[in-house]
Amino acid sequence: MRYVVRTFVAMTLFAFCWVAVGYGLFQMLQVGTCASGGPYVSARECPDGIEAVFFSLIGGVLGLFVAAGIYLTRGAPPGGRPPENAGVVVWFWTGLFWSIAAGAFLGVWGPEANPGPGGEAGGLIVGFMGLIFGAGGLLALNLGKRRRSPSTRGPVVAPAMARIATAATPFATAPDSLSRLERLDRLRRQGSLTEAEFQTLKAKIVEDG
Amino acid sequence: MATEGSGFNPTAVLVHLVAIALGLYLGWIAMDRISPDLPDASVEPGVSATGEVAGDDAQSLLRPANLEPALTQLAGQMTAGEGLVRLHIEPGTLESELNSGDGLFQPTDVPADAPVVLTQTIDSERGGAPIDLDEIAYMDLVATRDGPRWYVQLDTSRDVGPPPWTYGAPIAGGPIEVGPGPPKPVPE
Repeated sequence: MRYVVRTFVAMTLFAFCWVAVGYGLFQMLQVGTCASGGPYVSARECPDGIEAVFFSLIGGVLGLFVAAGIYLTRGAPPGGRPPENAGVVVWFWTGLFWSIAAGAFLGVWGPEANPGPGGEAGGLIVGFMGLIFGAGGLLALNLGKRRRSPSTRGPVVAPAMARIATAATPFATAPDSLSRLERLDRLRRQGSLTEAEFQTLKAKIVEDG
Repeated sequence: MATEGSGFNPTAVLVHLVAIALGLYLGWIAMDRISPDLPDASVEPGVSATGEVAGDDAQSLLRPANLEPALTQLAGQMTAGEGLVRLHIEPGTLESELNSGDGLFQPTDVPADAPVVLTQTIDSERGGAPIDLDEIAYMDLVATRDGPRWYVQLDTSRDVGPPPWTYGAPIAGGPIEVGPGPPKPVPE
């Protein structure tokens, strides 16, 4: 029950905040540059309610932090293992930057787009930056999974090869094959080499003559 | 979310999807309610005084003490990268025409005392009927190939004497040119 409630609340808040952030940016692009106050009437007067746009943008980002906090404490799903929480990177980071990108592109190219002065160039820059930054969250998630996956570890023979190489190093300057074989045998008896490693190196020494 | 638990977990997927849909819907409704009435994006920056203002009035924008804050207010409406092609000054209004590119000027480049200095220069140039700020219809500062230039139009509805009624000058104020046509702005 805890999982369902907390996941539901967190994801609802995540989605709400994505809209708030995207909407805030969209509206800012439509307003463009405006001025308030001063002794004269400005031609580009800031509209009433412009504060709400800034609050939605800032509040949306802060809300994502809250949503992430709730999401991280959701516990295990019914009949499942405790989650690894890697997904929060996507919901928070990618969600934040892709909602910024969505707001920016809708503000420039959307059906109701009417970007204010300077809004088009600024919107495109912010949009593409948001796309790239958001993709970084997916990339980080993918890298994290690969790091945890046993299938992506290096070959199991690698450590053995390293030990063989270490063991074989003294032979590079050994005077003859016989003494090299004696030292190899000593290493095997000491347990520094496995039987298979011993046989490999022995065959190499014999081959080299 | 699909991998939470052992393999595919339908409860996790369902909770995530329904919550996202609800959040998007609530967000849309909430944002629609706080949407402000947006200004007309095609309006160029400008300022205007309230009520009728004559050239020599205390509130006249031809006076340095008023022109300076008006230019500051104008600059606040401009975007970074934009420059002025034309600045149109009348006693009660300041209008602008913007563009981006080379050869343009900024509100901070405009000497606030230029209208008064130019009016005094024109007055001494003409002789005859005295020319004061009341006799100025408007002044334009235009970005030209040779830099910003003033173009002054006298108010012919007043007793300003015979032509010429137009004067030109560099942004600094002199030397004055008598009877020019409107300057050609850049970029063309």
